[in-house]
Amino acid sequence: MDTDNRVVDGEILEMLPTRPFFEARGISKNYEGEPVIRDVDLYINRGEIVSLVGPSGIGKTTLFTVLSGLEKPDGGAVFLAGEDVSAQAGRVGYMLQEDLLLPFKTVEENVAMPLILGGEKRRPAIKKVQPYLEAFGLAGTGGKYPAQLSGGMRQRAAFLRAYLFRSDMMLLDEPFSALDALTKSAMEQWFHRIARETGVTALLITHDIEEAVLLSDRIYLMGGHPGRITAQVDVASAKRGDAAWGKGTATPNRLRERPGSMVAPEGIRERPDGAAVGNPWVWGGMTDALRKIKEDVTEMVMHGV
Amino acid sequence: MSNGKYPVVFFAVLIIVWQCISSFGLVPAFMLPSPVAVAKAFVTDLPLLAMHSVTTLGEAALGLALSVVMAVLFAVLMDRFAAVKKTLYPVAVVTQTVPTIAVAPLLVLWMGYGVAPKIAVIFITCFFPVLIGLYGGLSSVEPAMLRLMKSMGATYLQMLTHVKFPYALGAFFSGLRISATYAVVGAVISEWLGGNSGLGVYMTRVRKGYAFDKMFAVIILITIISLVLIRLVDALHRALTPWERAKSER
Ligand SMILES: Nc1ncnc2c1ncn2[C@@H]1O[C@H](COP(=O)(O)OP(=O)(O)OP(=O)(O)O)[C@@H](O)[C@H]1O
Ligand SMILES: [Mg+2]
Repeated sequence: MDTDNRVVDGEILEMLPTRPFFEARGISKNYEGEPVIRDVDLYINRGEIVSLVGPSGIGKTTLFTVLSGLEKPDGGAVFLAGEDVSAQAGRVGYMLQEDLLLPFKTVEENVAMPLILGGEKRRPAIKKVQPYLEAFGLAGTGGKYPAQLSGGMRQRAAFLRAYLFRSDMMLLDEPFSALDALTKSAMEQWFHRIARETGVTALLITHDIEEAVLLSDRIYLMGGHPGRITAQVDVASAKRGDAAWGKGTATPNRLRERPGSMVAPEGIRERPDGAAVGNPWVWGGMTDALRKIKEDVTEMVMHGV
Repeated sequence: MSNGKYPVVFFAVLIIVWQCISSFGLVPAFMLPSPVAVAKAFVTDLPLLAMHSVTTLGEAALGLALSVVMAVLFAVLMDRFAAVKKTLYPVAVVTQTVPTIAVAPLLVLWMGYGVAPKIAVIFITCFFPVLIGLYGGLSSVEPAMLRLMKSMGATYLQMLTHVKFPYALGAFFSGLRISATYAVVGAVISEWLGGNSGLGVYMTRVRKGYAFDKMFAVIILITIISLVLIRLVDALHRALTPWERAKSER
């Protein structure tokens, strides 16, 4: 379908025509006989950040319960790296809409949950996540309980937990919408940086079109009843051509540059290649080009395309 | 005046009034002994009371432990299997409406004068509150929390240990709080029906001798034991839920 060319250290790693890394084909889902979403097709390439925008109640979260494998689709199938993973829970990292840190576990225990569930003992698991706490802006909070953290820190911890579960493909359901405007903006920039540094692939639900434009390479619009994908907007090309977004200045993978952490500790399922591929831009903020896209997308949402 | 002082003042006044009633001979001393007489009886019989308490507390502890173990087992089964819940829940409710005091003599006839009928009586009274508390807690965990765990590939056992049990602790402990006092009362009642030692046995003996001062002394002792047990359960609850305290110290 498209060519996933990756150049790391001047070496061409892959030049194969590939199927998209993550793909949903013809997904339909009913609740109590009522169709909620119908024939949803979408794909995400490796290293891409894609947003899903649409009005409340359109079925975005419903789509995620299917994409995450928590529920079986009533039609269609979900593919991860070419494999049918429909109705298979635990194949992708999923950050739910609700702020879901376990209140009776400390931050480090919460973050280490994926390792503990994977069979690791509590202490070594907590030890392994320490460098990540620091890298994800959670230094010094490991021993605290979620109730003692700020909203932004809680979101970071929930994101880190999902990241440590599966960093290759992540589903993020409105990760920043519960935050106040200032924290939200800081978290968006933080997310942008961490996403580029770690090279995660993510599909992100948001109500905020500006956020979608700033964070993603591509935007899917959802609309109609039952909900379906109504349009797709490319943002990456605009950023690539924009001086403010650094014009392809490569950001090295900071996590992997840490001495002794060149290889992710055993049990932490980071991307095998690790490098930030594809879109290594600096944060450019809202430029004219992006403002134009935002207007277009807003128009499409308002008029239902 | 802090809240804790109100009951203290209330009891102080009560005891003074009681002492006055006795001192002025408003009620015959053999029917209502004065607080001083009760205190004296308490002190002189202390070694005896202590010996009997050990028996009663032993039975209560055994019965309570059995109730908790069984309640945990059945609460988990009810949470895991809808069929178990549908079968057991109504049965558990019915057992609760059977008056323990009425059943106790029957149990003695069946099981003799040993420790077995006592444990049985305690179990019948204590099992239910713990079961209902714990089951309620296990089954009322936020569905989103379980979806999150499922999305990370958690098994039922993992959900139980990492989410359901910690969530249910509060409800479990409110059940246990009630059961701990029931256990002592249950032990005493079953001892009325027979046995060689225990506070219930002591009570039957002093009653036969019309020793009202000793009667009052043992009642007060049982009350104190119940209060101490509630405090112990609360302390255990607090020790096991450090996050509850963390909330206030941000
Ligand atoms: N478990 C369920 N059972 C029945 N109906 C459901 C269930 N979950 C969602 N729905 C319905 O499906 C529709 C889509 O809900 P969904 O949560 O997917 O919307 P959303 O796009 O995520 O909205 P929001 O932006 O407010 O989060 C709603 O009408 C909702 O009432
Ligand atoms: Mg939603």
